[in-house]
Amino acid sequence: MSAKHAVLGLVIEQPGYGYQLARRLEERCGAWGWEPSGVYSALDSLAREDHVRSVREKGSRTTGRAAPRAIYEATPRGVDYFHEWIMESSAPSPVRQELDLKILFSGHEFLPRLIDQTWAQEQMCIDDLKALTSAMQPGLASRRPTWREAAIILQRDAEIKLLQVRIEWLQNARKVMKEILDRSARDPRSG
Amino acid sequence: MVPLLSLDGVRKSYWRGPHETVVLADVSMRVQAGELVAVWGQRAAGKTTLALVAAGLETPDRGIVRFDGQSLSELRRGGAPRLHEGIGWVQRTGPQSGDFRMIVDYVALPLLGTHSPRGARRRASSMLKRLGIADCASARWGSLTDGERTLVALAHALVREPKLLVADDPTANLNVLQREEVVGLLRRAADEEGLGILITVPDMPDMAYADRIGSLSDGRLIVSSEPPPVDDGTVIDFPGRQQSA
Repeated sequence: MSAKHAVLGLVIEQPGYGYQLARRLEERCGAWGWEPSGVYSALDSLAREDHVRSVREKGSRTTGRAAPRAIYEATPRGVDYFHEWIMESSAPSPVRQELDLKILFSGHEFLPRLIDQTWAQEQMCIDDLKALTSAMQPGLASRRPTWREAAIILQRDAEIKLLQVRIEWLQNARKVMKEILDRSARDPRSG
Repeated sequence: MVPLLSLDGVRKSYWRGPHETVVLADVSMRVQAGELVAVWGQRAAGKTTLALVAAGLETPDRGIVRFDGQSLSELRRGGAPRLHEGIGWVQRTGPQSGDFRMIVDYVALPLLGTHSPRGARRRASSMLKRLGIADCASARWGSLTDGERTLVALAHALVREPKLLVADDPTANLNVLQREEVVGLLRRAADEEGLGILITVPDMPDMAYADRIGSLSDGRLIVSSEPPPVDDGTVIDFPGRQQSA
C-alpha cells in the first residue's frame, strides 16, 4: 500500500509543507516503513488527482526564506475521496515469509538448522517489537483518552500483534520440528 | 552498578510422576532501578514460575537470584520462601479472606506490622488516591471492575514502598484502555520513583513502554538486544540465542 491515503489523512487533519508532513508521517506511521521521500510522490499524485492543492506560505518574508514554501491542503474533492476510502471494506494483506518457504521445501536433514533459524527470527522479532514500543510515550495513558489518542494506541497494537502472531508461530513450528527430530532419533525409520 | 534484581543460570522444573517438566532451563536476566522489564510467553510457557522465582517466592533448583546484590536464598537461611521487604508482589486474587469489608483495609494490611492501624489506613488511602482510585477505598473487592482490581492489587504491593515490583500478568482480562492506564502507571513509577519493575504479560501489546522486553519459550528467555552504542566497526554477535538482560 502506498503512503497516499496516509498523507491525504494528514493534510486533512492539518495542512503542512512537505518536510513537515514527512515528519508527521514518521511519527504516526513509522512502523509502515514508508520512506520520507514517499510523501513528495504521494503529494504529486494527490495534486494531479485534484485531491490536494498547494498554496504559498503566508508571512514567509519574516522567516528569511528566499522563496515561500508550498503548503499543501486538501481540496473538497480530496476530502470526499478520503471519506469514501474510510467507508470501503478493507481486505487483510497476506504476509509471506522466506522461512516459511524453506520449511515447506527443506528435507528432514535440515531440521536442526531450521530450528536455529526459528530462534534467530524470534530474536529479530523481539528487537523489532522493542523498536516499536520504544517509539511510544505513555503520555497517552490518561484515564479518558480522546478518540485520536485511542486510535494511535490501536494502530500500535495492530503492529505489535502481527509480530506476536509471528513469534507464536515460530515457537509452535520449533516445537513440531523438535518433536519430529526426537521421534526420528528414537526410531530412525520414522523420518 | 549492582542490578536491583538478577537471575543467573536459573533452572526450575516440576515433576508429575516420573516425568520432569523443565519450565526454566537456564534463565539469566537483570532489572535495574528505574527500569521496566516485560516478559511475554504463551500459556504454560513458565511466566508465573519466572515471576515467583524473581520475587523470591519460589526457590530455583539451580542458579542464583539476587536482590540488591544479595542472594535471596542466603537471606532466608534455608527457611521457607517469603517476600523480602524490599520487594512488592502484585497479587490479583485480592483478599484471601472475607475479613476486609473495605478495600482501604486490604491495602493497609502489609503495613500493620510496622504502623499503627490508623497510620496504615492513612497511607493506604493516600496510595489509592495516587493511583487514581480513591473512590474504591470504601468498596468491597467483589464490586470492583477488573481494571480497578488490578489497580488495588498494585496499591497493595506498592504501599510498603518497595524498591522492586514483580507482577505476574497484571494486565490479564483488561481492555485496551484499562491496560494503557496500568502500564502507563508502571512506567511513571519507574521513571519518577526509580522503582525497578518486572512484569509478565499474556499479550505483547502489554509490553508497550518497557525498557526491555523478553519472550519465554522452551524454558529459554530471549531478551531484546541492547542498541549498539556507536558504529565503531565492531562485529556484533547475533546468534539468536539466549542472552542476558
